[in-house]
Amino acid sequence: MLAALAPLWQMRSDRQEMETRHAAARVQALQDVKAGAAELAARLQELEETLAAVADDVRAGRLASSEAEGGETLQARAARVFEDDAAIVGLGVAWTPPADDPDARPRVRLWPRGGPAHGRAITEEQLDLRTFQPETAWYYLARFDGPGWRPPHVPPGSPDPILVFTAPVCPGVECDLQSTEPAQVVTLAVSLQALEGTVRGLSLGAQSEALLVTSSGELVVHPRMELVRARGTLHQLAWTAGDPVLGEAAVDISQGLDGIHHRVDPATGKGEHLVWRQVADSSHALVVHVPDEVLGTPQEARSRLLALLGQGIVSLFLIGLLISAIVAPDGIRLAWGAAGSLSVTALLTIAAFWYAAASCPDPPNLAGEPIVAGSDLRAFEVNWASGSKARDMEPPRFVRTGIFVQSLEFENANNVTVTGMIWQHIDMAFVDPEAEPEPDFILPEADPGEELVIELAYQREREGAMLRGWRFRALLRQDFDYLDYPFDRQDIWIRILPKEFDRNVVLVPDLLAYDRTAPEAEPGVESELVLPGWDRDGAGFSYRNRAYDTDFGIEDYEGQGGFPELIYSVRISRAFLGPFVGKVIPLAVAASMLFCMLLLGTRDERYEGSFGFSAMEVVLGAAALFFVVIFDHSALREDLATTKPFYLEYFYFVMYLALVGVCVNAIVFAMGHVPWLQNRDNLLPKLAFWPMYLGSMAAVTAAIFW
Amino acid sequence: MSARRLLAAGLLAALILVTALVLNREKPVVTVGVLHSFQGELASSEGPVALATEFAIQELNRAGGVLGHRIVAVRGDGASDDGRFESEAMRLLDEEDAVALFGCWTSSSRRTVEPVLRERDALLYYPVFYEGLEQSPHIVYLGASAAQRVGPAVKWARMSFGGRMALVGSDYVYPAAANKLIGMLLETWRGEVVSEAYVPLQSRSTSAEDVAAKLEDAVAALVQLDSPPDVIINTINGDANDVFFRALRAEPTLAAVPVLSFAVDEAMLSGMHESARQEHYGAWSYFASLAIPANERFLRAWHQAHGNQPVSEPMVNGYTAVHLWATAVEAAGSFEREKVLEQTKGLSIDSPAGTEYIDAEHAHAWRNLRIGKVNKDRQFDIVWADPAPRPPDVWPGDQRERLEAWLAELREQRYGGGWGAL
Repeated sequence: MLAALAPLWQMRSDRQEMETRHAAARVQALQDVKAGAAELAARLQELEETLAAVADDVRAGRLASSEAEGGETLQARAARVFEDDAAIVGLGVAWTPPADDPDARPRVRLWPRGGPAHGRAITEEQLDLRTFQPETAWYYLARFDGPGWRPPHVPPGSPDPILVFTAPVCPGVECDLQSTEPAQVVTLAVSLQALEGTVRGLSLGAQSEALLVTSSGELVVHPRMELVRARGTLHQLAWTAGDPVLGEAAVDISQGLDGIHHRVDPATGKGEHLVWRQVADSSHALVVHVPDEVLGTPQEARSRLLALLGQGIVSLFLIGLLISAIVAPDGIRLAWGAAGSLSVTALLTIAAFWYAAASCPDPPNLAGEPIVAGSDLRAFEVNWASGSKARDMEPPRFVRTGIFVQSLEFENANNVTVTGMIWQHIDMAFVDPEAEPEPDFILPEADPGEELVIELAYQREREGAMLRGWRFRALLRQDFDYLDYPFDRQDIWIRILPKEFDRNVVLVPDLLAYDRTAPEAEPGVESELVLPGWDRDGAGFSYRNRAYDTDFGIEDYEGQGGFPELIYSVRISRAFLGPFVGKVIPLAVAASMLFCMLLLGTRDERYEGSFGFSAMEVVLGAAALFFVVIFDHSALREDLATTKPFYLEYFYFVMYLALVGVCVNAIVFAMGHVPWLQNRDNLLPKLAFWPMYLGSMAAVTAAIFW
Repeated sequence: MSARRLLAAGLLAALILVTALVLNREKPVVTVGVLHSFQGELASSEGPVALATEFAIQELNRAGGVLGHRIVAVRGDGASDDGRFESEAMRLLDEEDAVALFGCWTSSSRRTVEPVLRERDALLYYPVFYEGLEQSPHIVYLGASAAQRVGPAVKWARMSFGGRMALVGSDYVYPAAANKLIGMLLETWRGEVVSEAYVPLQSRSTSAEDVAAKLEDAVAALVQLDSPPDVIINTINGDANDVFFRALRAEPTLAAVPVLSFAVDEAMLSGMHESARQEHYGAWSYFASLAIPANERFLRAWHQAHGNQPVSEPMVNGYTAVHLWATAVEAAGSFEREKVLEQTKGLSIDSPAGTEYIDAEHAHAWRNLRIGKVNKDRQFDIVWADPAPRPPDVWPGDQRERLEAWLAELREQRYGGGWGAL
């Protein structure tokens, strides 16, 4: 009985340990985010002080707007500020119109970082501050709301969004905006890329993901910076994804509140703490996803689970024996009890391994490290560009490429038909508007025969690039691994190469085109896609570096050594119910019939006339069963088309052994030469049948899945 | 076959028949009330909202109803009269057994109906912008409160046109409250109210001619100002808008003054004089020109069913309200007010205006403000959009006590115990 309590005790200990870890993780997450928010507040404060010093000098007339006025010029101050702080990408002043001419165009001098000595200023000629719009909001908000950080925006002529801090400057010391129109507005622009670096540099834990948002929920820093460019908000993210906790965070942040919530992230299906905290005095808040600590690898988790289940099974076995000994103390009944306990133990062992294999699968491979965040992609682009320079290759051309899979169908064990859309944004410099559009990608795994169809679905010209969408149907040949059948998982991967594969053209995933990019969210897979017999586990982009041992005869071939190839993968796992009903249950029925034949082989005169099977009848019955089983086995082998033995196949081998064993036993028993077989009317083989049959299968299962 | 076997077979057949009948039996229909004005001055504004509400109910029925029940919409005609709204609400709830009401237009009609809802523990889905200053557990507010709409829109007008503002509105609680808020805000934005005028809603005691005369007086007062206002804030409701714009644009000094309207939508614009296209802006959360897939899908379905009938924000709110109610009922597994309200709070559903979120504390939609400029097709071109939605903030500026006192005074002294000028 004590043994029976052991697994319960173990489960309780595990749960307590988990709770302790969660509590500790919560405290750690709160501390980390608090420290991160403080660090960020200090950084923003530092930037505010830089502008405050400029405002003081403007107010006191110490900064001249041109060299003719003498003293330090605004231009010189801008250059000094840029030198001191790499995150600052712009500095400037705008003069409000005089009271007697309120409709005059406000004068403005904005120095953006870059250019020789940052000498070229944006003036009122380029920036008309008379109209209130997102690009000029900083000027108006400073005049009416006072100093503050303004929502991020993309300035005209720049690809990168900026965050702007602006402050009014009044002729007196402090501005009373309720009664006084400020004389000037000073502004300082911060690169969001630099700010993103600051946020990523916070000590928030290795796996954490941080977002910076304004108090009204606008995204400032997000792992997918494309969302920032598109002026996304935390509310949109939450409500679109149906994520109530993120929605709660958005609401709390707008009310100046902090919070923490432990939940399962609906985007990834993984446990995490979601922490949100105000960044003091800056009208911003930090939102951090802190994933739960993963207790070891999936293999370790599986081992832990199996150890726990193993304890339970052993306990049940011992309890079974105990009950048998109490209920049936005489020899034969006790023997049957022991055989039954052993059989049930073997059966439970198989079930435990199956459960462990299904609940602790290997993590999605997706043919490499998945690319989820725009920042990762940018880092990849920067690295590849610098690597290309170092390797004396031509400058890379990155082509944004997206894919949407509408259907998948297994034609046979190694061929999959895929249909869907592939789209690319091609720089207009590489588009010949006169020429017939052709796909700028190839699918090297596709059978080039009739099955490969690529048709232009749409094309649009926008922002200096041509967007072309292609509808495709391709038969892909892949080497799938069925060794774990029926617990196998497969990656169906689509390798997309640039048409100009000999040039330094790199396809990059069009992450902005997807609502969510985490593999668990299955970006790019038709939500209603049905693949009979399979469940979808994830999808996503990754890169595979492939080296070729030939230059294909092209002298200046760029892609020979470790060129990044874009892979889009869909991970699927086999739905177990199908093979269970179609293969395992018939085998179990066959085994039961075999056992019946064994049981009915008797030399007891009382039953021999009614039930007794002769040796011949047993052999004939076994032969009939053999034909049924081997037919099923052959069909399965043909379906999977694999040369190596797979897991379920061992069940057939065990069945063949059992068939042979039962036949041999019937013959020897009929001859009557082996005394222990004659003992108690062939009792021993009957007792041993299920423990040996199920035990063999349990041993095979343990060997495969341990 | 023996008699016993015959009996058994007969019983079995009867059992199968009864089971089939029970399974096939249709659930009883469920009634909801659509309470709007189908006659009087506000019929042109409210009729399309009723139509959009009924359109959503038809969609629900095509999709199998709600909790398996077919939904029947019964109309109640408020006839642009607060008293009629009250009596029709009673009829719908008492005689028609409506499980929820969708409708009302003016704040005065909503406030008049609210006690009826309270007495009968009923729920109203209100699709129109309003002043805030109210939080009833019997109303789900789909329209924007003044703090979500008037405040930010007037700030936009202050920055875009200047601080000298003229206020013109219908004489009932919403314009009065909105103008009160505008006055408070302009104090902090170095602006001033240069003129404030109210015209009564057309009613049994006020003829269209009386309304027109009052509007001409209001325009004349604007002409007499030292200099034209920087912008006119218009909270006139109903058909009087057409009269107002004709009179306003006929005055040379006022012809180019921008007007920011709070109650002129695409449906109303379609029937207005072309003078309403000049320098005319609208502040809404939704415009038919909103370029998002959800809106495009909705417009396709709508125009297929209703031809060229224009679409406006109150209509979309009326449409969304029905789907919101159905989602909450399905989640609650019941039509009971308390359970439905509980499920409504914190709910987010897709709507033509984007994702619709109902505040988890108050049953009130969060709203994005958009400013549109009327174009030649009598639609709005969006010129400004809040990226982030705003919370309801029904008592702006933490001044609940002060505003409640002001509201009570307004009701007693100006409206004689009602919610608008009779």
